Order: sequence, then C-alpha cells, then structure tokens
Amino acid sequence: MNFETRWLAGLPAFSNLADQRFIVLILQPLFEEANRMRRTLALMARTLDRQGVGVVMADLPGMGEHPLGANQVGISDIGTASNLLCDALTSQGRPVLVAGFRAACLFDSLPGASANWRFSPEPGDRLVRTLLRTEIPEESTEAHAFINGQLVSRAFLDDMARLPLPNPACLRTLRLATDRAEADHHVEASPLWRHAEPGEDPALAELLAGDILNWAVTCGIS
Amino acid sequence: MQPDRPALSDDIRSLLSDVLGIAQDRAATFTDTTELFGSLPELDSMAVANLLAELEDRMGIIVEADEVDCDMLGTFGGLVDFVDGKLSR
Repeated sequence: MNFETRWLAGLPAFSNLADQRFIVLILQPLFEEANRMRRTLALMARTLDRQGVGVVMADLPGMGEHPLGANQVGISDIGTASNLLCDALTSQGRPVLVAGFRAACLFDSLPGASANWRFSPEPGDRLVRTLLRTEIPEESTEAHAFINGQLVSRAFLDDMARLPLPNPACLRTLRLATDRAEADHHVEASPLWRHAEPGEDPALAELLAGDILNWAVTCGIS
Repeated sequence: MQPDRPALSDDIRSLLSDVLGIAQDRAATFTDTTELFGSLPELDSMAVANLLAELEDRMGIIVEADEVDCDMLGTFGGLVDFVDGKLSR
C-alpha cells in the first residue's frame, strides 16, 4: 500500500507512486481537527489505494508527528512544506490531485497540482476564532496561546487569520448538508472535526473517495 | 426564511446530538427547561467552542464572545431563544 504518513528529512517517505494512475496529496486539517478526522481520512486513503491511486497523507509542520512543534511553526513553514511535497510528488511523473480538508485548504493552491478538491474549507479568520475559543489563558504566554493542550505561536494565529481561501483553477468543493456556505455538492454526514472524541465514518470515507475519483476523471487526470 | 420555534428546536437538538455525540433519542427528550452547561457532562469548554462554531455554520450567525453566558448555555430553551433572537435580527 502506497500510503505514507512519515516524514524523513523533511519530506515524506513514499514508494512506487510512479506506478499509480495519479497521486492524491491529502492535506489534513490543522491541530485538534486532524486528530478527530484522521481515522476517516485513513479509511478514505485506503479506498483510493484499492482503486490504484497513489495516496500521500503527510503531517505538515507543527502537526501530528512532524518534528517541528506547534510552538515553533510559522505560517510560511506550512506553505513551503506543501509546495516541496507537491514538487516531490510531481517528480514521480504522475499527475497530483490535492485534497484539502478544513484549514489545510488555506495552503492547497500548489503550482505543481493538476487539480484541487476540498472538503469543508473555511477562511483563516473563522478558523482562528474557533481555535481561540478553546484557549486557556492561565497556560498561555504573550507569544503563545495554549490551545487544545499545546502552545501555538500567536504570530502563526495572526497570520492564519489574515489568509483567505485561494482560488486554484480546477477546483471542486464539498460541504456538509448542514453547512450554509456555497459548495459544488453538499453531503449528509456529521461534522467529525467538531466531535468531542475522534470518530470514524466509513460511509463518508467511501463517499469522499468516490467523489475524488470522479473529479479526477472530470479533470482529465485519470 | 427563519424556521418556527419548534423547527428551530429540532435543528438544535440535531446539532447537539452531532457535536456532543449523544443519541438522537436522548436529544429528542430535551425541553426548554433541560439544563445544559454544568449539567450535561458532554458539554465541557472544548465542546462549547465546537458547539458555537457549528451553530455559526448551520444557522448563518456570528456568536461574539461576550454573548456566551449562563443565560445562553444554561438551558436548552435559553440556547434556542438565543439563536431565535439572532435569526430575527
């Protein structure tokens, strides 16, 4: 299975991606939302893998197992890492479709990508407002906010709050049916990223994988 | 169009069920006097942040920090009243 989450020397380890029809670069939500969605994203990745699609689901700087901690990360680190990652994948000779989730969509307009697909994106100011609602002031400092059990640079939050959603050329957006914002398609599911505990939604994982596959066909990369 | 109060109450029961992970049949028993924050163990401070964000997404409203208080989150009826008031503006 060509599904990797590790980072080695700043880039994820991957193998055999050149054998795949195309490569899906999954950009996971940031911070706690990633933990709550990870199991469903893994299910989605496995479904794509079974369809002969290469999948890379790396931890971005400041997130998950990435060696750079949330207290050290700057907004440019995430953009730079995403670009490096996409360049490394396009060098495999296969088209790359970027699948962005939630806050990661702020960083998904990558020059090397052949197509973009999004799930429930939000502009930076809304995301930061929600993050700061969970801040514990007693544990925070002037330079860092204590959010969801970790210190996050206030400079990072300030920069993220100023980020609009980019407009890549070949883009499809999905949202939940309960979300009033515009989208190409709304799907019936629960907002996993807002649940108290990490959950798993196999039906949603299958639906998202299918939609990504269809979008790749529409964009002429599959 | 703004939903009538019974419909809005049902929408908020569904939202609470989704965000807090409580069974729909349990949420269906919530009445205006059902106590929420401080009485519903699933509704901790983290869950409040997610509840407010989900309210904003679903209802198309903005909830300011100084609007979140015991009246708003103390009871189910208080929460419905708050959203109803926001939608009426």
